[in-house]
Amino acid sequence: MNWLHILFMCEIYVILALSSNLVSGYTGLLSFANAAFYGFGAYVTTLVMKNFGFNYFPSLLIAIAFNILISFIITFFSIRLKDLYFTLATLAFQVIIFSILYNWENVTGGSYGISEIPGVKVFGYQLNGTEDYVILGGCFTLMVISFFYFFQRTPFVRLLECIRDRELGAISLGKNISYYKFICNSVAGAFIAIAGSLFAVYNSYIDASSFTLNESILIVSMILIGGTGNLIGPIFGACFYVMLPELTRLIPIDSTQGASLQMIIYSLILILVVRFKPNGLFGKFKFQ
Amino acid sequence: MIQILINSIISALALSLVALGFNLIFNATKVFHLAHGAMYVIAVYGVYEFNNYFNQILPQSISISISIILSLLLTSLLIIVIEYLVYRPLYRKNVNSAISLISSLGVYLLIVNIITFFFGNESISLDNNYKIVVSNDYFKLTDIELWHLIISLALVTVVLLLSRTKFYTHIRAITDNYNVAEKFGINVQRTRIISLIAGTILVGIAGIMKGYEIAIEPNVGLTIVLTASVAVIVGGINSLIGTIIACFVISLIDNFSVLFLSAQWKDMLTYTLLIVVLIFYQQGLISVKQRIETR
Repeated sequence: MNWLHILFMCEIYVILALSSNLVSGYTGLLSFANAAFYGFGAYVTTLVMKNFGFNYFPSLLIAIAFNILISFIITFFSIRLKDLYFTLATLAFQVIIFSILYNWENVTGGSYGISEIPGVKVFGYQLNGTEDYVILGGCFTLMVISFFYFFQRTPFVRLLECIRDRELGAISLGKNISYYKFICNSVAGAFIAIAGSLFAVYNSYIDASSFTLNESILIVSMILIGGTGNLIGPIFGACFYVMLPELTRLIPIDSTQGASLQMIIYSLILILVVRFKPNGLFGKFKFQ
Repeated sequence: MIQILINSIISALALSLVALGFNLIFNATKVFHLAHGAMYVIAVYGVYEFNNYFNQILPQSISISISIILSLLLTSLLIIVIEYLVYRPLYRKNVNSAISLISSLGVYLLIVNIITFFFGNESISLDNNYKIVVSNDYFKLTDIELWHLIISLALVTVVLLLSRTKFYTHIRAITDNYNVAEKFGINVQRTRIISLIAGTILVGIAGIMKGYEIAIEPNVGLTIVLTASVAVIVGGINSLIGTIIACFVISLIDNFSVLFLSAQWKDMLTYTLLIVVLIFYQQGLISVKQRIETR
């Protein structure tokens, strides 16, 4: 059992869950497009690094800028849609973006993916081995967690919660809702780009199968199980979901059956949480 | 060209069975019923396994018909269990549609992964020795495709005829406002269960026909049900005719796009259609006029 690898995946999924929590938990827009942003982050970083010979950090900045642009486009199209329709629109974007990543073979390599992604250089020091990446990911995760820790106390978040609980109230206070939705979607997109780029440089190989609709479903169920609208819930959900496969690996069955067993456990937990504890294990807000 | 047209008509009819079932369930229960896709798969696996069992004791044709009936019964039983354990408590709590979508997704994942746990991930086919019955210069039809056409046309007609009955009015009343419908003496629970069963039988038959035509694998359900839900929303949630028209539009786009683009971009076209419809005609292409307050 490779604990460092698990730790690194935990860090990536904590970033993903926290950023998706900003959209789904604080603002109450259940989005299924997270894996698309994740994929864009990974692919843009990789392509910039491989084709232009940039270092990791400039390409990460370009990926963040690109993701903000994409989230502007997606929000622009889906801004007037409400709960189920918003979810469906983001789901449609997810499928469209996945099929672009999967089928545009000249650029993304299609189902073969892109291999030999160069590693990260920090001030001339080449990172190698899992430990270095765990430290790099840990820095980013700490940054994201502390951002959300302070962000929670700002009036901005209270306004997002107001949009979630009573949109009409926010409008009648004279707030420009579209502006706030744009901001929160692009902040989430930017953070997800970090997770995607970390995933790409760590694996040094990406293909489209890591960014399917199932990945989006996984992220959404992470925040639903942990609880939305606070800090500890998504962190718990992400760690739980990364740890569980390691536990099922202890049961002596072959790998395909093991994968189905994991999904059985995930989906059972999902059904039970939605049924008996709609606000998640630690959440304060419940979808109603 | 004519071959493509005929193929798209056949696939449109099969898709409209799934979509009509989805429409009935969505209207009666307000659940975005993704577990519909699991029913599609489980009907085929039911026929396959029952047939494997009965084949040894009974002649072929009887064993097949018994297994189809048993498998449809099994799916109906399963949907009742799901309704009692999952959907009804959520309906009592009056949750919003996004959260019922999530729990339906949970049910879908549970069922599909139980299937892959026990029967593996490979695709299964019910019967592959079809023969060509109609063949001329323009098109060919196999006997299975012909059966496909007849059965689905018959079922679509039956559903459209049933939509004239009082029962369908009950469904419409529940869609509008189930509280008021209850006050007027409509048995909401019974209507929910009947429309769930009707939708499930429709989707089960569609799945079994697909299993005869090509083959089916456990993970195919989500794609099918998402396409069907696109058809329901594109056609307008309140309209059965609209759903059928949307199914034809989608499968015509699917089949004719192959002439211009490669087949990989099919999904993308379908979902682009969904986004365009969501942005410009949120009520669907064919819609019933509503007061603004009730939207």
